[in-house]
Amino acid sequence: MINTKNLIKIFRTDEVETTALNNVNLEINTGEFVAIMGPSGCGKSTLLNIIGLLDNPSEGELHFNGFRVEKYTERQRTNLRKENIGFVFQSFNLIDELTVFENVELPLLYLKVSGAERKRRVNEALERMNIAHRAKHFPQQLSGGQQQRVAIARAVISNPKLILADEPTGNLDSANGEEVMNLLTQLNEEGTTIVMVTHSPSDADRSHRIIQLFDGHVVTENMRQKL
Amino acid sequence: MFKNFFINLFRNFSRNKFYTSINVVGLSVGLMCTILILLFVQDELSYDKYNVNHERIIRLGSDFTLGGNRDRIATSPLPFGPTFAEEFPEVEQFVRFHASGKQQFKYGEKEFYEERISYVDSSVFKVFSFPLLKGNPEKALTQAYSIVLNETLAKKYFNDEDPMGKVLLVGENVPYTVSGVMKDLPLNSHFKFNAFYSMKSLENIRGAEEFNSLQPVSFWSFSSYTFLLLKENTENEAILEKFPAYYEKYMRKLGDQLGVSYKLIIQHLGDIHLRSQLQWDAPTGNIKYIYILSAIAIFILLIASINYMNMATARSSKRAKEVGIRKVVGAQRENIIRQFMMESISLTVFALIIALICVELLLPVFNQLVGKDLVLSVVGTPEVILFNIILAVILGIFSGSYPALYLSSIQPISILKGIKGNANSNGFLRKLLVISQFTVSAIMISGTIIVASQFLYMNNMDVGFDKSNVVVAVMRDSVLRTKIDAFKIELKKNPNIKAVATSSSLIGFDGSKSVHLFESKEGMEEYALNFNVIDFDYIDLMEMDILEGRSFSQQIASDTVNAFIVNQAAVIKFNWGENALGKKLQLGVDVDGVDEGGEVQLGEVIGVMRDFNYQPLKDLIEPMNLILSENPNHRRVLHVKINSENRKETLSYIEKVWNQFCPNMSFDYFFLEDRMRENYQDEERLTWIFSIFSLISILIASMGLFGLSSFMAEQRTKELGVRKVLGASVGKLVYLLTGEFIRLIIIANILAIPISYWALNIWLSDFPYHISIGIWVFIVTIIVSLVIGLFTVAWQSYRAATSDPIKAIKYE
Repeated sequence: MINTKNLIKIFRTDEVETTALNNVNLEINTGEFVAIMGPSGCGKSTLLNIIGLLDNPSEGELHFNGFRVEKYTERQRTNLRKENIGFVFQSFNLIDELTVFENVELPLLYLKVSGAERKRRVNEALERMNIAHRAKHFPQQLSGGQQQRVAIARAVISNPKLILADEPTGNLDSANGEEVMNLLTQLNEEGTTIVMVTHSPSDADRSHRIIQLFDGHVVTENMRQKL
Repeated sequence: MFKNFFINLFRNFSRNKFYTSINVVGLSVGLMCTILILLFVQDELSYDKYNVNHERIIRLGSDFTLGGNRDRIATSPLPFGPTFAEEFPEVEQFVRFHASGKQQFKYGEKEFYEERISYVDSSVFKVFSFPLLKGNPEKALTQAYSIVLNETLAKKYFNDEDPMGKVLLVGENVPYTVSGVMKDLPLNSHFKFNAFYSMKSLENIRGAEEFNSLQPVSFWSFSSYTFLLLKENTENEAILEKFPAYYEKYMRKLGDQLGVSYKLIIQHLGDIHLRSQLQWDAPTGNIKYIYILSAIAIFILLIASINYMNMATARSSKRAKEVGIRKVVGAQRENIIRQFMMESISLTVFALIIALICVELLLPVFNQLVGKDLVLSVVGTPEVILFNIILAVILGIFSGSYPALYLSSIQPISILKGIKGNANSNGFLRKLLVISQFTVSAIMISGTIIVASQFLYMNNMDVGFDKSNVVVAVMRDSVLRTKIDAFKIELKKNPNIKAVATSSSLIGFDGSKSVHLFESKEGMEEYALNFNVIDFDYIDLMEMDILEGRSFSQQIASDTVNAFIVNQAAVIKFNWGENALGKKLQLGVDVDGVDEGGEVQLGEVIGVMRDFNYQPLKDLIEPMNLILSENPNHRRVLHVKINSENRKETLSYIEKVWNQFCPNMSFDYFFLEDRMRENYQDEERLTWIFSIFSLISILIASMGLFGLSSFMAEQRTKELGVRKVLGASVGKLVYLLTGEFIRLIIIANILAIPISYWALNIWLSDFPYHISIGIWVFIVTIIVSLVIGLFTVAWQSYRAATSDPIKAIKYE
């Protein structure tokens, strides 16, 4: 599904040039659950953003579903992203002014899904995330765990093939974190590809494969056999 | 999508009540001012356009130069109408208006003085759209001594009676038969007539021979307003091109003898109200005020929309997260732009609704201020409403454009990295916006100061005579004028009456001009000189200064025959220098074979008086000649100087004596001072308008500054906390926060100085007597801006500077 060749990302400010990714070669297959680990500043999030089509690499190739996308314009990337990729963030990133229902509905609006269809799908997703009773609440009225479940509902609402999760349990206590991981695992079992950045070894244990990054390089790739 | 948008919009507004209300109030007030100004401007531009034929109607005016003295007047000779119709095939109809002064109307017990009446040709109802409610437009004014009243007058005298065929006694009991009732002329008409006498009446009064005379002298008396209805597709140039031949035929001979050069002025009816600057014209508007007001409207809107931009971009860090999320989940840039544009358009449309309500409520006050009767209605002024909706949308797009473009450019990745939109990244633009707001405000402040000072200056300027406590009454009754000496003696018996005098015309208003001959090195030369015929008591009553020679004296009998007193301007004009006394002067000229009509009086200068402003201060003091006469026909205007105490009793005493001497016509008076103040009504209005609108613009700018400063204080909470922990004093922190704004306000003021100086000088140059723009004006402006600015910013800054540093550091 995702294929990178000699991916390089360099950040430049006026005086400093930082190489965030250096010759990263990766292959992520459909249906896989991959964890990316590594110390702070090693380039995990940068890699995730490039895979998520939020950012373009400085050099190298990026293949997504067989298309070469590293030179895509913002518009092309957005179009590809909104149909194929869902995001889950450490800090949930829900819009405070929108209710739970409206937050989840948002991707469908940009996909121009009809009102009735939206309602059906949002309710379904909320049921699934066990948060339907909170549909009319605003994010601030929810606990962290609940907020993250809303975020996951939003990530899956458009039935994406890929979910990118950036430390999804980072702001949660262990019980809530566990629940979120269960949801992600379940999604993966239903066929969604998941790429997750994490610091937590126990979260990483849920994945099929762990990619270790260090200073922008891939150091190891451990295939984990599910027991 | 729309529902989602509006829900989001509403929540966004209600969660940011402070910023939203600053924006809504600013935009509403801005739009309100614009709508009011627009209504005013639209009304001014609509003058006389209610006439169906207005595009084909022109007015003939006269531009003539005599002895270096040029006059441009709105009137033309009486024979122009019929002879133009005859000589120029382009002319379809002509109408002449020959104004009659104030006259007393009597019907039964009812007796009032009426103004704004004119003798007019019977074609008036064909040329102009003055609808008749009663009477036949073809015939209403064909008979001598017929009169057409407007609705108001008809009601006043006849109530529910049918006025048609009834007889009104006019002036010295001349019977006029009512032959029609017309609708009151619209307010947006430069004509202000309440009634029309038939032109035939004037013909009867003057005698048909004199009235219809095509003698050369008739072409050199400019007594009527001549309007021509031109045939379709006729250009004014056609008339102008052929005019020299006409001039040759009717006017040249006498003109050359008099030494006058003459030019025809042609004005479109629609241009008279705003673009005519002729003497003897109806009080008109001024296109300059239209420009000034439109500029003010644009300024105020600019300030309000800058507020919006400023606050929207300042708050961008708060919205950046939302933009980022929307983009991550699939929003394209145009979705975001559309969202922000719709937000600002919704806000301006909402502000427009509030503005329209405010306009509806404030219109009566505004009408009073501008002296109009403006109405706002979807039916009556659909174009104003439509224009405003368009304006609100454009304003929304304009205000929303920068925030929309800026925010939509935020990369989603930045929110993932946890970077908040950097409020300082557009600090330069924000500074620029604040500077432009305060530049505009500073221009408005200095404009207000200058306009108000000029108004006060004109009102309080020493006009060269004492205008206070002078009661003026025009003696229209010829019998009263013959009894004037006895009348004066009777009046003076009252101890509260200090002096009584008469003159032929009212100082400062209806002066007369006549050809004079003055002594020069080359012999006697011609000049059209203003003159006023006065009695012995006039100069004393008005407290005018005689600088050289003497005043008129009752002891010297020849003073009524051959003595003149001229003003300083005349001495300068005639190059008399130090030797003005004894110089020869002649009123009127003898022209061979032509009866000039007026009397000729040769005499010499016995005194020079200090210049006084006998005309409104909007004109330069022109040369002037005072002539003494005991001829009752010249003693038309009664002046009574009274004590400032017991005014009421004194006035009723004058009225009592008046009624004894003049039982036919009631006492109709005014105070000279009041009449002179009316001259500056325009300036008084402008002063008010300027003050009010500049106050509003400053208010809106300050609101914006207040919002911006609270935002900046909030932004810098952490910085302030750190500084405080490191030992900064509250004073230092307040300075840190306010210093930047103060600098911006000072820069704005400096930028405003040349602009204000330039614009105000243009305005002032219209006045021959005007104040000069001193540096103090700009100093005061800077101080006012700074005080307002500081007051606005200081509170927020103080609050931020005194807040608990621990909280501040924990922030984020």
